[in-house]
Amino acid sequence: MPTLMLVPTGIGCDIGGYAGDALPSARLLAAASGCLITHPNVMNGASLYWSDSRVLYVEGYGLDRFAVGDWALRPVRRQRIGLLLDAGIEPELAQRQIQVAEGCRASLGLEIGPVVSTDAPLEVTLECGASGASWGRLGRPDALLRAGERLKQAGATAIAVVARFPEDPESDALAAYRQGSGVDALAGAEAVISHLLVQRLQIPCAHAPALDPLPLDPKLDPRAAGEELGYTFLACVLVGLSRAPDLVSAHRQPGDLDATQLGAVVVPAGALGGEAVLACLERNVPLITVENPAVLSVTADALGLSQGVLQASSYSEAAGLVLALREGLSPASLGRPLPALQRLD
Amino acid sequence: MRLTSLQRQFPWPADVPLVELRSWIRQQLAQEGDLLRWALTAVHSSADGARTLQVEAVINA
Repeated sequence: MPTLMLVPTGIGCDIGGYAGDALPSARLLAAASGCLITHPNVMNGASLYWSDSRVLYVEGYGLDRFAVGDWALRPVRRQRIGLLLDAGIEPELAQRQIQVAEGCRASLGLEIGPVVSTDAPLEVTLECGASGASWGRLGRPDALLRAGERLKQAGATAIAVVARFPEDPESDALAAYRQGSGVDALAGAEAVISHLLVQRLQIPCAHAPALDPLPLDPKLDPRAAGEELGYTFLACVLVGLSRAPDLVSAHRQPGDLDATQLGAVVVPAGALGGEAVLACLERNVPLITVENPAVLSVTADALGLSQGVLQASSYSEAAGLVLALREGLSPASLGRPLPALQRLD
Repeated sequence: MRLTSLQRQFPWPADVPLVELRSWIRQQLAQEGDLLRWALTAVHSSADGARTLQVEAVINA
């Protein structure tokens, strides 16, 4: 039963707001559903990753277009991943990225190449919205898109992009994030970068930031640890993209997956304001909300959703609900008291 | 091409049901440029029952 799992990027979710720390939940939901569609923020743990043939790795812009019904997903055996490097990355740090790509070719058998650098530094800036969610921009989107188009023309069927991100190792926000109590300040800008490429090129793309290693923090939260194991955040992106589905808008084929086949959407209870969730509500896809605190409070109550929401206190409970839906069981029959039947007058 | 971040607040019209809210928000934001990324980040309710939508977005203006 195709199931959509969303943990919006950059809103500080307790589960999924750090370095791939929603991965165990995604693995469980994949097992319960048999087919989980989710996005890089869920699956990317920098040096840590997990590959599961039941998981479809779809970047956020593509995920929105899928949920709306504009695009379908076409599973593939492999992608040829072009590597796009920001010209603003220092040579030694850029070499680290290339070595990760070489390692993934040699040790994981991924098809990677070619590599291209942008013709100008991308000039990434970080921002925070009034809600507390992280956002961001880049000064040279034109340079990003030119490099992406070169890679596609050269035969890349997916793109891993690495941009130089601004650093402030002494900031309170970074300290809070590393100790497990803050919003990922990089996430919003990362999403903007990958959205731009997917919007223009309609191929799978995902982003890894280029940053200098941080000094050791003995209080490092385990959820952030995946980002402090190596010199880059790239390995998870390459693994995720290696079997990401194609994004198709025309000439649908048997086996393509579209939004009409969705059996459920699983989302943090306070994060119902994204385009994919709203699109699922339009087509009456069963909505499972999970208690997963974040900085947003766009809840079912706030939207006036009085019926049809399945509330779960954990991803374990959500997986049980997904399994019930997959088996054709009424979730209401699993709880007590069982509400009386309604009689129409 | 220039990317711009924006935040807007809109009264949620009583005649726009939830199932039409996504399209309605897109229409409001489309007036400002090509929409790249957006989210409804808060819904504020007043004592008289009126609701205000807070939307954050990045557009290509």
